[in-house]
Order: sequence, then C-alpha cells, then structure tokens
Amino acid sequence: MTDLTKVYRQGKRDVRALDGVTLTVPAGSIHGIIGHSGAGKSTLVRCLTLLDHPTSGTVEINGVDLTAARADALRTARRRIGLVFQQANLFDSRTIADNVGYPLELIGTPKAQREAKVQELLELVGLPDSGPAYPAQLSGGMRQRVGIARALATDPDVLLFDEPTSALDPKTTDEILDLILSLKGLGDLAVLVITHEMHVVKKICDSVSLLDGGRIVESGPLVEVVDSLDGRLAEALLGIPPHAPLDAVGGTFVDVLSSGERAAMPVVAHTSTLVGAELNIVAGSVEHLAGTTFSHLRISVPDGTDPQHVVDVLRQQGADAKLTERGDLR
Amino acid sequence: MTLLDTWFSNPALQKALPPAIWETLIMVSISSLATVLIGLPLGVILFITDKGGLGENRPLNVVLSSIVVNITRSIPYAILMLALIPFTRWIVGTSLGPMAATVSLSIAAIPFFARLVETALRDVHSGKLDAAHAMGSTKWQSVTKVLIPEAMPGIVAGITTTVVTIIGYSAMAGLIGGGGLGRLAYNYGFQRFSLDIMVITVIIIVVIVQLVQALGDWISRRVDHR
Repeated sequence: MTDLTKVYRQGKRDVRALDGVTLTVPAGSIHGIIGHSGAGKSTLVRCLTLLDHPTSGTVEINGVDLTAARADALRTARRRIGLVFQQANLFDSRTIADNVGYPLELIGTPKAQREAKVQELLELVGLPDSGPAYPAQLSGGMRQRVGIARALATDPDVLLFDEPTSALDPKTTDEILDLILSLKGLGDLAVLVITHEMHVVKKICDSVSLLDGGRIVESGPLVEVVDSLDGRLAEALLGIPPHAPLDAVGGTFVDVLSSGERAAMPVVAHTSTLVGAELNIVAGSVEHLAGTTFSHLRISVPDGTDPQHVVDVLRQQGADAKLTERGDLR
Repeated sequence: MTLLDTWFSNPALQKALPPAIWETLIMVSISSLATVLIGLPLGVILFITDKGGLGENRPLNVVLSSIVVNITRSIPYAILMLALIPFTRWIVGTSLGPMAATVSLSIAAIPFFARLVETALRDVHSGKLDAAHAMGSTKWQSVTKVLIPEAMPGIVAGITTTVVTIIGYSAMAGLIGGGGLGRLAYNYGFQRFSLDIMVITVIIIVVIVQLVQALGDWISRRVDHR
C-alpha cells in the first residue's frame, strides 16, 4: 500500500482516518499492524479490501493496482485477498461446507471440484468432520477456523486478519495463532494481522507496524523494533510492567536492554563488581521474540555512585543502557 | 335434537357455507401470493436503497418509503377498498366477488409486508454483507445468496403475520360484495339474525388463522439455523 489516505466527512468536519499509510508486506511473512481503538485499524481493513474506497493512494498486490480496478476487475482482484473477521461473519443459513465453498460458488466452480477443495480446506484448519454442521453449532474458535478456511478458498495472495482473536478466550486465541503460523508455509502467502493485542504480535509476527492517528509511526522487523530503549513498539512489546512499585525504591534508575546471548549473561552483577556498588534490579521483563531472547531490566543505582558511570560500564559490556528520570515513568 | 344437529341441518348453512369457505381461501391465497411476489422485492428495494445500503438511492427510497408505502399504509382498509373500486373494475373487469377483493387486499397488504421484509433484512448483521462483498460477490449475489437467505426466518414470520392480516381484511371485503365468510356472517348472521351462522363463521375463521400461524411457525423453525 502506498500513501493510503481516507478522509471521512462527519457533519461539517473532515476526519482524516488514514493519513498516508505506506507499507509493503513480502510474500511468506506475517506482518502485524498494532494500534489502539481509533488509530485507524478498521478503516485500514476497509480500504485494503476496497470495502471503502480510499480518498487517495494505492493498494497493490503482486503489481496489480486494486484501487484502479472497477466493477468486474475489482471483484476479481478482491479474490486475491482473503479476509478474516473478528466475528468470523459466517452465513448462518448455510452449512459449514457451503460457507467455505461460497467464494468458489461465486466464480462458478463445478460442484465436485468445490466439494473436494472445501474438504481439503476443512482438514487444513482441523475441522474435517464439520462440513454438514451449521455455524450456530460451532464454538467461537471453530467458527474462526471456518472463517480462515473460507478466506483461503480462492487461493489468495494475501490473507488479511482483522482482530482475529479479540473475541476469543486465551486458550482458543493460542490455537488460532498456531493455525495462522502454520499457514506461513502455504506457498507465497503474505499475511497481514491487524490487532490491538501485543500477545498476537509477539507470538506470530515477523515484522510489525504501529498505527497511530492514521499514520504508521514505527515499523520494522520484530527483532529490530524491540531492540531499542526508546521506541514505542519496544515499550509496548517489552515494557517494564507499569504497576512495578518504584516509588518506595531509592537511588537513580537506569534501564538496561540486552538481547541474544547477552540476555543470558549476568551483565548487571558484573557491572556491580566493576563499579563497586550494589545495583538493585527493581523491575524487568524478559521475552523470547522471533527466536531471540530480550531482557529489559530497570536497576536502581544507590546514591553516592555516579549513574552515568554505571551506564557507560553497561554499554562497554554490549548492553544498551540509559538513565531513566523518575518524572518520565508513568 | 342437539344444538349441533340444529345448526348442521340449517339449509342456509349447508348450501352457503362450503362455497363461502372456498371463496375465502381463494381470496386469501391469491392475495397472499401477489403480496409476497411484489412485497418481497419492494422490501428488498426499500432496504438496499436506504442510506448506507448496497445500492443507496435517496430519491427512489423517499418515493417508495415515504410516499408509496407510508401513504398506502395510513389509509384504513375499509376506505381503501372502496376507493379502489374503479381500479379493481379496470383490472379484473368487475368490482364484485372474491377475485375483485384480491385487488384491494393485495394493495393493502403489499406495503405492510414490504415493511416487515425491510425489518427482517435490517436484522442481518452488516458484517455478513461485508464478508459477501469482500469475497467478490456482485450486488445481485449479495442479495440473493446472502441477504435474503440470512433473513429468511424473519421473512417467513412476516409472511405468516401478513396472511393472518389478509384473512382479517378478507372478512371486511365480504361486506362490499367480496364474498366469502365475511359476506356469510353479514348477510345471514347479522342481517337475518342467525346467531348459529355467526358463531360458526367466527369459529372457522379462528381455525384458519390458527392453522396458518402453526404452519408459518413450523416453516420458520425449519429455515432458522441460528
């Protein structure tokens, strides 16, 4: 997508829901777009699928410009995108098999061929026996699996998930995320997941973008955006728990970030010895993301020791470190 | 002789009742069929031409909704059927008999049913139409393969309500020469003070309404997979 902009008229005001969004998702990878309510996520989904036409900008799939397509060409182009909704949006009047077969029915695929494809897809999502059932007989997680099967029916190039797990419980969420992860192996599928759940990004995404106020304010491979003490995505994905009781702790705070093999080494203890002061770990978070371990610790430097010296010593050992003002802590 | 024997040996009843029932059934069936055939598309058009609909068309929606449907619905049936006499004569060649009554019955019931259809369609979650749209459905496919099937339980319930309403109106149509059970009750029961004919007519109409309602409920359950 290039410079995607959507302006809604609301009464007498213009509301800029998307403001020049540019993003490329390579085939064979999973990209997450994360943002709070009102950041423009829903508008982005509607513009990407051309349910709403963007005010300006283009959406291209393998070099084909969807935004330029009209009527028939647009309907054909839409089949290149499989869309999975938060609430699955299955058709209650149709059986599961007929739901999954719907996109094929639209293009007049012969019945026998359709049935074979539907069965193949139901097996892929782990519901081989659910074909004759109706959506109301299935649990939320199963309905979402059917939604995924349906989105895959036309062998799309792009699979777009709109808050796929927001209506599910934690266990079902993990099962659906495992399923999405397993789809990565399916040919040249580019997967785009739009969500407000950090957990989803941590678990399945190769790269991630932060959407705020209709703009992409940060973007990059997961391992790169997390490896920073300043970024908002790093803060969101590897943040110090906000409820850590820091008011009662004395001294000056220093934040330390180390990744990879260094995350497993006793960097703080070593620094303690080098500066000759007892450094106290007051809060921290350690995560295993995209195959790499990240450790983000907040330590307290006792009064009488120069915190800038501590920062320097930490940096010498390959960790990233910075002074953290108490006033900056939320 | 019991009361029932007296009633069933009443020659007026024996001769007049069977054709009256037949006329009522004919009247109700034809006008119900016409109402569904015209009211269903009208209801769909009301829904899709409305603001934010699949084929938004404000002028058409205003004409159909505010003018055609609302005005027809606000005229009491007793007045509508009299006002339509010239039109009925032009359509079926006469203003008397059950066939003539079907014209005013249909015209009164079509807007009523169209509104029920519109409400049933409005109950279909907009996400389903988005899904249909995103999968590359044409508008026609969205309407015929998704919108109408998803609204079917509500539409069937609407048909049941409409048929029951038509049965009620058909008795009124009997008063001005429409025939059927309405005329039987009026001519014999009221004008000739035959209480037995009045009672039996009422019972038969109640039974017909109950059967229609039960059948409608049964079909509605069969098509409802929610």
